[in-house]
Amino acid sequence: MNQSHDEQFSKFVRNAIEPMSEQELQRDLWPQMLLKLHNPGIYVPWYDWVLTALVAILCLFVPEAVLGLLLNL
Amino acid sequence: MELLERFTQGDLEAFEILFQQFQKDVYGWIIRIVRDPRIAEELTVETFWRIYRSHARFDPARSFGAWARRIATNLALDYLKDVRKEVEFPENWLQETPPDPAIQHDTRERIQQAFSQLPPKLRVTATLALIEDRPYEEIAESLGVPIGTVKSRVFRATRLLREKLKKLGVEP
Repeated sequence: MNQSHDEQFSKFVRNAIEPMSEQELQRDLWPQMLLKLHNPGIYVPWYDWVLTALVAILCLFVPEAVLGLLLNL
Repeated sequence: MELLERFTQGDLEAFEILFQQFQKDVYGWIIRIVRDPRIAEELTVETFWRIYRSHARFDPARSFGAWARRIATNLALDYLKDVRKEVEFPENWLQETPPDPAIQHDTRERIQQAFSQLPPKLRVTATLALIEDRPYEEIAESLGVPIGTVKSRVFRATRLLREKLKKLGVEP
């Protein structure tokens, strides 16, 4: 036992909130996993969101940029 | 070829074997944090989905279980951050908690209320350390932080909990 926290307080909390260590998985989740693997949905990486936000901000503050963007599409 | 090496190359069969080996561990870890079986199941599948997507980045020389647990912890933490304003506590938490005759129902409710008001990072650390009694090393590894950070979070969480409980009229 390496814990150095207040054991008395810990016991007090544990008496009110039961540990979940006995909660076991009731079913095999592989069928759900397969479903997710076959229907992953649309995944947009974070950097795409950042890029979209930057473009939106640019268009908001420099409306002329919209024309430039349209020409580059 | 070794199972982990096959997994890093995107072999679905190897992934299924790893899934079957580790789904209980991952679920068991997540439920300790989110304390809701339905959410824990969803986050377990999401954890393995992320694991599968990142298969090429996994180093077969390292522990798959520890890597899975790290991803699971981050997901559970994100979940707690997202639901913090909407749901303070899972509805079924109280029903799942066998009553301790020494502690009144409303006192338990207040303790749970105080816990749910902790900032997510402190709440996760305090839940794992104070309620689940997990070793600091294990908590630190799953959160990807040094042991000292875990100790400091537990200390801060305990202090905050004591303050909140005092305000709620509960003296530990």
